[in-house]
Amino acid sequence: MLLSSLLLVPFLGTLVLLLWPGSPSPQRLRLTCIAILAVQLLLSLAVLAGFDVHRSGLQMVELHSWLPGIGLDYSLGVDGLSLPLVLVNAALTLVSAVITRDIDRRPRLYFAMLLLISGAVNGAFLAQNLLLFLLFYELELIPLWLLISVWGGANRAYAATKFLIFTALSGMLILGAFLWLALLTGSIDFSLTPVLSERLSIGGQLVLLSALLIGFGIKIPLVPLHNWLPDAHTQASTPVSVLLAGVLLKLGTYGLLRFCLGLFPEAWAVLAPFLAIWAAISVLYGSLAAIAQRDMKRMVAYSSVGHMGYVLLAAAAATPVSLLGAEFQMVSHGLISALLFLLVGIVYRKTGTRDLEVLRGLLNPEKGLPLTGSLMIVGVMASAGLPAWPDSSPSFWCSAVPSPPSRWPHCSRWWAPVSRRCTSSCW
Amino acid sequence: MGLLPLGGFWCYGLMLNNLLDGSPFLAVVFLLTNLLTAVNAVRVFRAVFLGPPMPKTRRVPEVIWLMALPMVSLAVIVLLLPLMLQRIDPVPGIAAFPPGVAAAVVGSGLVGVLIGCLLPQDRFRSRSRRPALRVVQDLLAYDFYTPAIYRATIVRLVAGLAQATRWFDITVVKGLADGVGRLSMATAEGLRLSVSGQLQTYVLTVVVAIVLLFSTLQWIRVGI
Repeated sequence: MLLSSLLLVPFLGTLVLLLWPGSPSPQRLRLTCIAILAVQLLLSLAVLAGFDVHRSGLQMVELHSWLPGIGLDYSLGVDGLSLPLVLVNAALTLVSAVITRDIDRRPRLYFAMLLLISGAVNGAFLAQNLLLFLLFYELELIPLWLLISVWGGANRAYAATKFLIFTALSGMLILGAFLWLALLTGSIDFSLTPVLSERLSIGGQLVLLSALLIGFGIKIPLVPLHNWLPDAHTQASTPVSVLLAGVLLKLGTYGLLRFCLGLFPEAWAVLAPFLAIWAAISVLYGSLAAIAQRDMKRMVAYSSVGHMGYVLLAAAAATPVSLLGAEFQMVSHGLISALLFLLVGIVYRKTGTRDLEVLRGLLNPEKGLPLTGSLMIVGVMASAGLPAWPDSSPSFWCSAVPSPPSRWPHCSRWWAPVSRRCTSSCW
Repeated sequence: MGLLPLGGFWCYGLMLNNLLDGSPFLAVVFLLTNLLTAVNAVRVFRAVFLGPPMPKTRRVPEVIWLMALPMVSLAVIVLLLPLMLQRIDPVPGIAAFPPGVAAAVVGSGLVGVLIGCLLPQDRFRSRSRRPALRVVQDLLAYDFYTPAIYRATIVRLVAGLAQATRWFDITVVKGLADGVGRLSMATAEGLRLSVSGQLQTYVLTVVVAIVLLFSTLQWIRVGI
């Protein structure tokens, strides 16, 4: 029941906030939300404490039949891929709630949506049924759209609508692939097993894998499906940006590893060289585009596009070390990008601008932001993957692993670290 | 500068001894570097601390003890470093390298000191008007124009690529996404004109769409 509590606590918290009688003050709502998320964090730590790191495979499995007619089971489980992401979700959602200030418009809805997103993301990471995963994957769509469109910047309607359309398309492609998998195999068993794909020809696997790659590629995001991210980040408030970059993008990479590589290993091996090239292009594109930005938030958003390309690069190699690097990259990028967005938010709040052409001298110890500047140096060095910082090992593992017998990953793995240095040097 | 009995003598001596075996050319470069370092250090000392006082240096009292204490402490540590290293990890004796090597290290340092003492401190020479000499001085003063070359080549290339990527992202990628949106809006506006208000028309449209969808799916399935 521990895994179910990770879903129940935030969902019940959502109901509590929405059904709270009277007109509670924003501060009271905020504190209640923080308390609920603190409980969720404690539960996540309890899952960590009960997790046996020496045992591979799923642990703490919970399986209940829900709608057997359509193959939907309530099936939860945690393993080494999902546990770190659950912890990151718990931590960053709590951080988002803590840093939320001055919500005078519909605070009840704001904090309720925050809790709903947290629960949905937990559900997506823990689901062991394809339809259940998709249910939670789509559940976070509307809350995030609301968070951007109601509490965002001046151009929030455009950014929120673009996010909604892109992500809805992503969900449609993933659902279509899952349904097609069931249709082609003649089974309505949506449990997470690669056995299903073995009944398909390699051509069929490639078609379904391509649909999943595009679907998850929108979410990750990968070039050229990334266009929604910079606008969404620029228009979203700081707490929502922290959530978007730190947690929600990991849904895409999680899906990539769990469903694309996990369900279609044969087709994945066929596409691996092209995926590595795609990853390298995405990394370079994101990094170069970041250099040309004047808006700090937009720059961090494009750098996130580059960093997420690393995960695809590691997944394309599909060796034990590279997959470890991919997992580590997801966790470290989640924490580092959250830090960077937080710091950019502080600069914006204090100065009123995020324009790099205008901002100067903030490291001044008397009239500037020396602490924020110092933390920015820490964040940027970590983002650049300098040795001894959290992102250095995963970027090394993603870039320098023995590649499968194909020359393409050899070409792509050396470009990526150079682009990361270029991006971080522009700070 | 590799002068006895300071700590640099031993490490320079060992380094020079190893370089002589592997690469004599580098040993010469090493000694030349030591000499130039000595010249520069002495020249700077002479310029800053010796000679007649200048308007900026006429009234410069000594620093307070709070500032002096760490500097003096560090100076004492530097002087005592060989003795300290002797206790931690005994440094090799003066016989660890040949007398010739020791003489070369000390000699290059002393020659550098001598040259530094004898160099004229002519302010007009430090920034010559002779074009040939000025070019050489500027080349050395501005680090062989490495920052300027770096800015003109690598930085310009990366900045150009970044601007091109940004243009592509805004014009092509974003343009495509916005274009699809505008096309959808325009199509919806056009379809609005075709609203008949009759239920049969809507039902027919839905049935045709469903037939087309399932036919396509079946065709794809057969193809796979």
